[in-house]
Amino acid sequence: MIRKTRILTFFLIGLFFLCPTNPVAAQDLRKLDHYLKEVYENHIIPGFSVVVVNDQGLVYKKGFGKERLDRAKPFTGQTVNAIGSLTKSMTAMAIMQLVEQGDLELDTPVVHYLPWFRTANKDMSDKVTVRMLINNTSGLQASPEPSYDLSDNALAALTRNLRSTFITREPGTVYEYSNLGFSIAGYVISQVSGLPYKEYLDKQLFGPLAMKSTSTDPEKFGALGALEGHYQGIYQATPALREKQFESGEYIPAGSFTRSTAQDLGNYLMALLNKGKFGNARLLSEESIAEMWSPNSSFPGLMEDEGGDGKPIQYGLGWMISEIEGRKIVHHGGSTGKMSSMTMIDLTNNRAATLLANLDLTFIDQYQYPTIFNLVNNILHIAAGEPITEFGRPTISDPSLNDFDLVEERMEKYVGEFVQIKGGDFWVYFGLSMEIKRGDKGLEAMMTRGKNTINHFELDFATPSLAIGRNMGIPQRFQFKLTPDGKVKGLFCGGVEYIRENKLRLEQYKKVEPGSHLGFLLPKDWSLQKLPDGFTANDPNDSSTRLRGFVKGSRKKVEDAIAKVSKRTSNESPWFSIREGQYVWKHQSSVRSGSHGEEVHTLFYNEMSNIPIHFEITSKKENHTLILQQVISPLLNSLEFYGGNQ
Amino acid sequence: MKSLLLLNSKYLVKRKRAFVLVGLSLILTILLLSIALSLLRIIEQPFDITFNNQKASEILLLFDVRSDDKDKLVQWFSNQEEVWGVSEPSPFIMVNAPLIHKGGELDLSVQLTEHHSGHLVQDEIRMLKGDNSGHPNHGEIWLPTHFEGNYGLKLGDTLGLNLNGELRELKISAFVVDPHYLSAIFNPTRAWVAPGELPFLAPLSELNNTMIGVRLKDGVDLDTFWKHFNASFDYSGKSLQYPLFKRAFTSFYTLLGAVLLIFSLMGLLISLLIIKHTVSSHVFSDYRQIGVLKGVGFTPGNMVLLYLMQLGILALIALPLGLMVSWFVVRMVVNWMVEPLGIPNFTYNLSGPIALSFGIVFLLVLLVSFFSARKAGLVKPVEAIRNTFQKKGNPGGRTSRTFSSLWLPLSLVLGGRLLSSKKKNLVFMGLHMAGIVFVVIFCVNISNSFDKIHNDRTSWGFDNADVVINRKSSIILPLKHGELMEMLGTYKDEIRSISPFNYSNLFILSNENRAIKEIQGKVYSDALSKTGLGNIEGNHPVAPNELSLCIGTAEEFNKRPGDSVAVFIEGQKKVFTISGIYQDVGSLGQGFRLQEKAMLGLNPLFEPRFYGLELHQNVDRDAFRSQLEEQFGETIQTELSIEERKAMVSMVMNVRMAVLTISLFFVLVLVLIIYNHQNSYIQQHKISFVKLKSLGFTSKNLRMVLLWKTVLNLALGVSIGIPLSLWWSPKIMNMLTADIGLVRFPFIPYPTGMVMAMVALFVLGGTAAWFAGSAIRKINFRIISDV
Repeated sequence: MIRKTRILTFFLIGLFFLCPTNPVAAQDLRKLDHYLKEVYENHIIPGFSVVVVNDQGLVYKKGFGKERLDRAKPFTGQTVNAIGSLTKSMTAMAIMQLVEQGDLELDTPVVHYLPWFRTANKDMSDKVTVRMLINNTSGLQASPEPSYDLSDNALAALTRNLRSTFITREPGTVYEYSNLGFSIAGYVISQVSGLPYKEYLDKQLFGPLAMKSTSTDPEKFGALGALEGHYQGIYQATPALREKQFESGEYIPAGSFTRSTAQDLGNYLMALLNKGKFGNARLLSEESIAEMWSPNSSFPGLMEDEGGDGKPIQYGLGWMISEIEGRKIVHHGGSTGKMSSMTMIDLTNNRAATLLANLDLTFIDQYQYPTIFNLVNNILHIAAGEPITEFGRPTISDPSLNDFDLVEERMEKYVGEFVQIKGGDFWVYFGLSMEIKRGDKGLEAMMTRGKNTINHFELDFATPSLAIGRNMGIPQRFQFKLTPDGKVKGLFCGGVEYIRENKLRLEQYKKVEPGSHLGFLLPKDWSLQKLPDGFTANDPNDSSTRLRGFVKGSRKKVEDAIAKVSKRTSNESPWFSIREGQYVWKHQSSVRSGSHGEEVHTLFYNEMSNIPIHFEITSKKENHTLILQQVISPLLNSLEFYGGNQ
Repeated sequence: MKSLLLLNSKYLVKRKRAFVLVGLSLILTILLLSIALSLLRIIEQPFDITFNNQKASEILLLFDVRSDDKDKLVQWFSNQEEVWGVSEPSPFIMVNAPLIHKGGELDLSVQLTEHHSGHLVQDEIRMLKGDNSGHPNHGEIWLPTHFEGNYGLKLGDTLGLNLNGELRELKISAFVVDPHYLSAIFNPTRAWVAPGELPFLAPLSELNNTMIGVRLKDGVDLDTFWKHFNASFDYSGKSLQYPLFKRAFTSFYTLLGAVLLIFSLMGLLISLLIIKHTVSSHVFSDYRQIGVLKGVGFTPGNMVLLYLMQLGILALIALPLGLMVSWFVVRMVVNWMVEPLGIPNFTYNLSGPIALSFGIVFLLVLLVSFFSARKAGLVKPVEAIRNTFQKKGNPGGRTSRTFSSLWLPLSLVLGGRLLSSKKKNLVFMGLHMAGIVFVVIFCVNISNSFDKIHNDRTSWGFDNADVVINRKSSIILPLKHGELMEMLGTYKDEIRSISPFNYSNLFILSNENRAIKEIQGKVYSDALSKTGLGNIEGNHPVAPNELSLCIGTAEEFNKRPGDSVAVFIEGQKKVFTISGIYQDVGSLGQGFRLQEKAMLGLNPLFEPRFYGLELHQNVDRDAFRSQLEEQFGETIQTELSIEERKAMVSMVMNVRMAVLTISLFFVLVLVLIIYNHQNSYIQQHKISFVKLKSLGFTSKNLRMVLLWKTVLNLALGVSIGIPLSLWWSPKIMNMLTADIGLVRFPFIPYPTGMVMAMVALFVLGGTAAWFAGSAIRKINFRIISDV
């Protein structure tokens, strides 16, 4: 009996020492479950997953809701979601790996590794170091237009094109969030390691971390079942459609593409908490991780009105560093406009959590819903057995609320269609059409791009020229351009300028369908002739102007011209990538002598396999640009492939 | 008459030094006057000639083809009988990033426009330098001529353009006369590329802009026509019109002409004073000879004529010389003005300004000489023959006795007595000196006023901000207004005051409620009275229905404080009462100011976005800016205070150069006057000097006497010139800068500079007097026998 007691005692003592020093109690996990269920029920998020880890291992992993609102499949810990700028921490990790290997030095100028690296003011770009690229102090503000190139050349082209930009702040001094800086860092990784960036991450991070469902390569998304996410709406989110034609490789190291799961990210976080070790693999030394988590610069954090404490946020290398409610927290969010993530590592309690959502919660209306920051902070609190807080939730009401009402008679003047002409970005706000229409409660604004509804607002007017667009997201200002007689000529919203579509102008065009699956607008007086391999169209007023459309593969000469992307002559323009209407087109112009004298010829082609046609337009040089404006631009904007889209 | 002429020729030779001075000052005066009048007459001609020769359009329409129908616009204008022609549409793109040339940046925006054959008929672009192939070739760019001079660009150079995030390079193949962009002031300016070139430079998504030109028939009123267009056509784009182009070209030359005119009038005054003094002193020194001549039968009229003829002949020699030089100078200036315009055979008629200049100066010379020479006619022959020196003139008197003090150096005493012995001489020379001192002090203080903009920014209409913060909104964690203010509030030791504001636009409405003019203004969160800004009339707006207007806008619409003005702002019509009128050179006299509560009544969500920080005196501005940027990171952008900005720095430098040149010119005149006066004085008072030598004074002593005389003369001039300059300079500048929105020039005198300038004048004047005094050495007893 005594022997049994002794054995039991020793067993219990052993169990005590073998137990995790920082265990999450079962009741805390139940509380967490309950909390997240409530979040799902009361929030607007279609689906999300959460993973909580500590230095011992996985603590919690679960999904809530659905992968897509219009589908039944549940959102789980294995659901592949975008992580956005959390990728920056991975880029920084890759840099630190190369530093540890002696292939890179953080404080060496980039030009040492990329001798041709320069901006227009070379004296400034010569000062940019590798560290500055990944701590957001490089001074590189510009975000050049994408080339819709998914090859590894995209990063090289992006870096080379910096020759025409200027650095306006002294490198190394001021914090300025820079996707461009991380992209260049990604290119440095590829150049120094000899591996393309995507491949490097696969080999040196995702492989050793057993992140089997994680990738930065969009070609793999289909196989992984990666989500597309949702756009914000008024009462309900709208499932987003994949727009493969608009995918571009320039900003992969900054987070434009990376997809992962809660499961995989749990491994990543465990490695970080375990001083760089995961299983038998050591990804980084403790010192390197400490370096990444040491403050390099700072910027104002959440103020008290916003639910913060007014303390500045610091930025290390790919990570933000804050003191939140007495804990040292290393964190980074991720936002793609359709999906989002938030990762927090509680260094005080040795715990970490990530939330992945199929809606962009970074720009959620904080006055209506808890922010992703608040949610993950509370996840950590609960996992630590602590009560939840309101950190990150505003303490004031929405300052944009007002009691102005637009009179009914005026509303009609706002109704109509508008097109984007300036501003925006190339993540979400590009190529937009906006329709302002009557809704149940007044006017509504709907932003679309092809079949994608990018945003949908109720318009709450504060003045006749200013409306607040309200939906589940952050309220947006709609500044209307009004004339004294009440006409609405255009508007500004979210950094984008729109003008009212000139319907009268469209009356000068006719719809043509040269093929059973193809339709577009042409000037009314132009004649169209169908051909076996496409069509031809002519301007009756000018025989020198010819539009030719031909089926892909039908003209070897053209296919050769397209293939000659990098070997152009002085009489040829570079290849430009443009978004017109629902598609991305590449176009190149060339000068040639024709029967009508010197002519300009522009070739348009689309790389997508389900777009079967190329176009070429030839005219006298003095008319060419006008024809592009008057004929080609409306044609491309109105182009429809029936049954051949996306 | 023959004897008069012979006498004249003798006197002209005998007094050549004195007459050389008079001649020089006449030459310089007529030079300035003639140049000023010529410029003011000619200024507009080159522009109008170029504009007409090249069939330039009075109206340029620049629009986005997606919002305005090009064909409808062309059709509408073509159907108007007032229209001479409508140009072919020219596609263009705006390049707003700095241009890159040899690794450096040209801070200019450019409207890159396709050239086409239509530009041989209307809005002709004329080649000035380069290969005249009719239009730029592929890969080439044509630039307005001022690029060559202002930026040192050359044919064959490569210009880098940041287009769509990529560097495009074009070869400069010509410098051209662009009839709309003749002035370097314009930014953005315009450059030309080959027809069909734009698709080689930018993607299709950027190629949405087109330009059309409308040329009107002679005699058509542009304003009326434009109003007719606005009433008939719903146009969304931009327009640039003839008055703007013309003003951009002529403003610099108008200002130059006005300044030269002012200085020429001052120079004329000085010359007339010199003439008066010269004639008077000649009459005095010829006293005995006049008596003799009268004794032998010359009439009083002959005597007057004698001196009149001297100055008349001198004027007839000097003035044409001056006019000839001015003709060359005007030609040079006009060539400089016209060369970039490439006007073939530009002829201009200078006969008017030349004749006018000659007439004015010659007449004045004769008048002044006449009145000065009248004394010669009053001389009594017997008295004159008996007495070698005139009795008139006060050898003693109170002024003279001032210099009898035993404690003063003897040379000073004697110098003073010599100076004060002839009151009129004293006064005249004092006025000469005063005139020159006036100009020099004017230049010193004006230069200082521009240099010290930062001390008196608000008088220029600028916010009194050492640092301006722009609170950015397009970032992940933007700062709210209250948050930023709270954080800035912790810098009590550095920041003296914070003035939050934002920009806004409004349309001034006509009586028919149509928008006449759009102006940009500022809305201030704090009471304007706390910002340090002032008004030239009335008060700051306080009540929600009040606004203040900038002087240019007020004058354009004939508004005064107390008047009302109907505007369209924040999508609403509102009638404001004008509380005051202010000046603001930064907006060239256009704009408005509102109090935040007025704006909140129109837009309850209005918030300031800019913050003008006035720092304490001991705070290092640059260091503090860096500190703010490091703390706030991307949430703010700091801007240079107004006086640090490139355009302002450049303007201040230009003003400094101009005033330095003018002041050097007048200093030269001073030196010449003193030198010549000294010489003639020595000649006129030879006997006195001989007597003094006989009393034991050495040449050096006597030179010291003359030096002191000059110094005292200068001191007199300073005592008159400085107060006059301080009084008149602001008034002159008010007149000159009214056109650019500055009706009350912020005049800041510069005591140290004035002292330094005076010291320089004294040193140079004294040196001139000393060297002129070397003539004393040649005076000896033998001269008495000559006399």
